Amino acid sequence: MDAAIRAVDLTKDFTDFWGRPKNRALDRLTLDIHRGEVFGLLGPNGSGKTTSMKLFLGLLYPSAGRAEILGRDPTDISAKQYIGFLPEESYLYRFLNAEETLDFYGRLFRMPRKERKRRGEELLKLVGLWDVRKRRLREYSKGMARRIGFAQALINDPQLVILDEPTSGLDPIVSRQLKDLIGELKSRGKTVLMSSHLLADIQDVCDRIAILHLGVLRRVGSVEQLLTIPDLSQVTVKNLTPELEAKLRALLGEAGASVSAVSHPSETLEDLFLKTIRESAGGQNRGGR
Amino acid sequence: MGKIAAVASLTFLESVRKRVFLVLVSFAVVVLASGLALPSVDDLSRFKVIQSWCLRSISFFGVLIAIFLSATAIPDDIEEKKIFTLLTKPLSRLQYLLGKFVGYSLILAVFLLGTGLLSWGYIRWSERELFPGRDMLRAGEVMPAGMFALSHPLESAGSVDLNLLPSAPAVYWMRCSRENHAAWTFYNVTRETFGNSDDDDPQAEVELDLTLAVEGPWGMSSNDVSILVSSPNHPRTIVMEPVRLRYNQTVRVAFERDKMLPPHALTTLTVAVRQFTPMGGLGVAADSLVLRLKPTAGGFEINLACALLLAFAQFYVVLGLTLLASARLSGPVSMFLGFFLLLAGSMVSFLGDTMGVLDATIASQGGVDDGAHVHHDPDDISPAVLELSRVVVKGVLYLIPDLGRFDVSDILLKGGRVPFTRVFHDLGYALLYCMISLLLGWLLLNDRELK
Repeated sequence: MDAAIRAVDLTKDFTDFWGRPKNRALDRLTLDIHRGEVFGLLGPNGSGKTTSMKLFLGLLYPSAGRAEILGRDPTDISAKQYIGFLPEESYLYRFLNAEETLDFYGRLFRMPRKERKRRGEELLKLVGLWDVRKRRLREYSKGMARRIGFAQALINDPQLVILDEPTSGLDPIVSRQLKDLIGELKSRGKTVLMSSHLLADIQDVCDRIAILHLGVLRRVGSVEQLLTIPDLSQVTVKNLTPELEAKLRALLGEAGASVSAVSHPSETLEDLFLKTIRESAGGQNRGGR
Repeated sequence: MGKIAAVASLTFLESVRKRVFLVLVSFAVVVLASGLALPSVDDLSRFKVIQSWCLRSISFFGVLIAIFLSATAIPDDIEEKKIFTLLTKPLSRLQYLLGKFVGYSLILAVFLLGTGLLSWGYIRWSERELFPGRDMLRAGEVMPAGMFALSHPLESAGSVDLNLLPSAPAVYWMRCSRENHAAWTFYNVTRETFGNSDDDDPQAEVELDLTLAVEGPWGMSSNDVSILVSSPNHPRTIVMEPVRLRYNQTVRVAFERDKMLPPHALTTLTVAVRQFTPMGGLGVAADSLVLRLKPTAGGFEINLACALLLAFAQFYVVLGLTLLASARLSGPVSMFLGFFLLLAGSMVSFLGDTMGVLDATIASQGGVDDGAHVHHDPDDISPAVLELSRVVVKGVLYLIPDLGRFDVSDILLKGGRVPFTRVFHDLGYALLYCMISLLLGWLLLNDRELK
């Protein structure tokens, strides 16, 4: 499969004022991110996630190795025509309102005025900021700022979307909305690279993941592949009585398999929280604060 | 172009909404208005103070705005991470830098236009208030003398400071005598090119500007002179005396035009100056005395426009250099560097003089060549040291822009005409500095990693 992003022995050393190496933020990363997949970069703080993204985007220059983005060098601005990026904290121009913000970023793509207007409206409705589009960004809450950041990353209908910690610091509702948006992007054939240290987020939306630690790639593969324990199977049964359980155990024992645990599956906390909020809001989705 | 325009309009909007810009603009307006309250001896000097106050305030505040806005431009975008969303769009670093530059240029142009119009209205209004019914804001060109002569071989000025600099015009000193005089001759003069009023006004006068180095009795810096004007048509010399001169200050003197110049004919005019008091001395030079040509309508407005254009050129230079610094350094350091350049740039003419002194010293220390060896005076500074200082001064002169050259308020105050060639020349100088600054800024920014 064609790679949207390719890193070959990509290494980044940060230096001090005199040019002496201070620390190695990324160590010989070799990785292919395929077109059309949602890829998660996972790792604790300082593991090299943001550094790799900045190297892919040409904001940092590699100390060794090379990176390619959509088949081009990261410093080649022609590739950026097809890329959307949401930085870790979406600091935008706070004196602009949401509409002006999207219009400005649209101009950087030489989009005609009509097209900018149409696309702006579409995105503001998508991220639920249409009603507050005339409000200056300085009055926005963190969640709203994140959503407008997300919208600006999509202004050019990019083929590749890079999201740095898209859900960090957000409440579960906004976080869920963003994850749904990522799912939607995937269904439209877009490639998404996202980083997070929130494991549940990655597990929810990513097809494949890579785990980085101290700048070194420790694991890479599909989520299923990495999480599946091959010699364990799970059977979910409704209304299991103790008698039935005893019969099942005996049956499995006869067949040579052993039961390692019987438990009641529980909801994830996120599911419970979202369900409660939805019930309390009467099933209505919340707009801007 | 579209992308540069997008960044420029964003930069413009951002600056307008920045508090520092608004504060500086309101302060500039208050300062402009306060010109009327400045103390002065009489209405004429008050009027001149107002004009100079307006021009200097515009230049000062414009430079402040240029430094304050551009020093924080790139560092703020980097610190607040706004640059990440910009440079991950199809926007090159050069387009980003140019967009910033164009945006700030627009801001400064708007500032200049606003304060310029305000000043123009203010100066015209003060003219009406202080001198009702009189046209005080005239501007005309001057005519330099065709020949300059001294009546006696006078004391040579070799020992006088002013003549030490090879670039300075030769100044000759006339000392302690009513006999010696200096004479300036003007050829091919016609009545029609002179006069401070209508052509057929019999009271029209020819004005001349006299600027001399003066040493009065007991070392005072003022002295009195007599002025004698003659022409072939009017051999009877008109004598004006005494005229009080101050050291290197221009004094304007007038004589009746129609008496000295016949209508529609070319003639020759000679103006002689001699000391009125038999004490002190006069330092005269070929360009110490000039005749003023007839002022043209709208001359002041053209002059003001030229002065504002030159102020803009100065803003441009400061803007380019501060932006260059901010491509690599933090906001406060860039700001400091901007102020340092402003200070150094205003002192370049002084450094130029130092250069002249060094050249003169090196030339005078050639040593004595007896055929076999060159003997140097042991008290002389070593030629290597002199040469080194020369190279250093020259290097600094090339690096630091000469900001003093953009100030033409002197010409304006004297009612002279700002020469267009000078305006073009200075605009070219500013443009060159800007282009070099932007090029270097781009190289620095391109090399910069955005952590």
